[in-house]
Amino acid sequence: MTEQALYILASLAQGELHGYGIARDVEELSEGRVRLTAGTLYGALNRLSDEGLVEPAGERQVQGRRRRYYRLTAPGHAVLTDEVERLRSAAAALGARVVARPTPGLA
Amino acid sequence: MRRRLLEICLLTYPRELRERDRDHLRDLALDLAASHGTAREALGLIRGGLVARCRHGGRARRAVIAVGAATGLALALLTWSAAAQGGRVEEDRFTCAGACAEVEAEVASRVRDGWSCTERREPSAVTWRCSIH
Repeated sequence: MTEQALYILASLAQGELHGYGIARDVEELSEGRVRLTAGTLYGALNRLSDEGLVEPAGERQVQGRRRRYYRLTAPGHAVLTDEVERLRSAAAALGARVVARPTPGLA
Repeated sequence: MRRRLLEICLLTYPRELRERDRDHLRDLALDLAASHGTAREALGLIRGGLVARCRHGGRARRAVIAVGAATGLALALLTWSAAAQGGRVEEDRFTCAGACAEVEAEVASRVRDGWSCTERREPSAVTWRCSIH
């Protein structure tokens, strides 16, 4: 799973959001590292939708514009949970190596 | 101008997707362009359209798409370049002293073709500044 897709799933984990809301939330969640363009976001949402991980949740009028909302599906939530757990394990393993770094000359 | 540029970039999407989602994509790109910049959103749409076409097409079709996308990219960059100059595409100046009939005819011709011209008369010469957007 790409980092962008992971952030999109995480963004939708808090509830239904429209495209612009997702893009802003992802940017905030990633502290500015992941900035989605409309083209990237649209492509990612279509792929995640094809995989059954997200689904459209209707259209609503917001500030004069019709916005299409998306929501996380149950499989999407499961994939997000698994991926976060995998990252947690990887971070723990990698972090242990960083902490246990041998002092040069003593190895 | 920004809206038109983004709509041109949307041409890279397969017709089926474009007809279904054009308004949503354009509005989203317009919203994000306010903070990300128009060029970034334009390129994002071109890339997204190319990827969408690849997902829907075969190998031979991809070659055609690549050429189309390159053309679209060049077109988008040219349009963006014009937009970056405050929407000014071209500007010409005309000056004459004394017999100005020929220059006045040229300016009139430009105006008929959609140019916007401003006239400045001085004792020694007349100057026209014409621009087209």
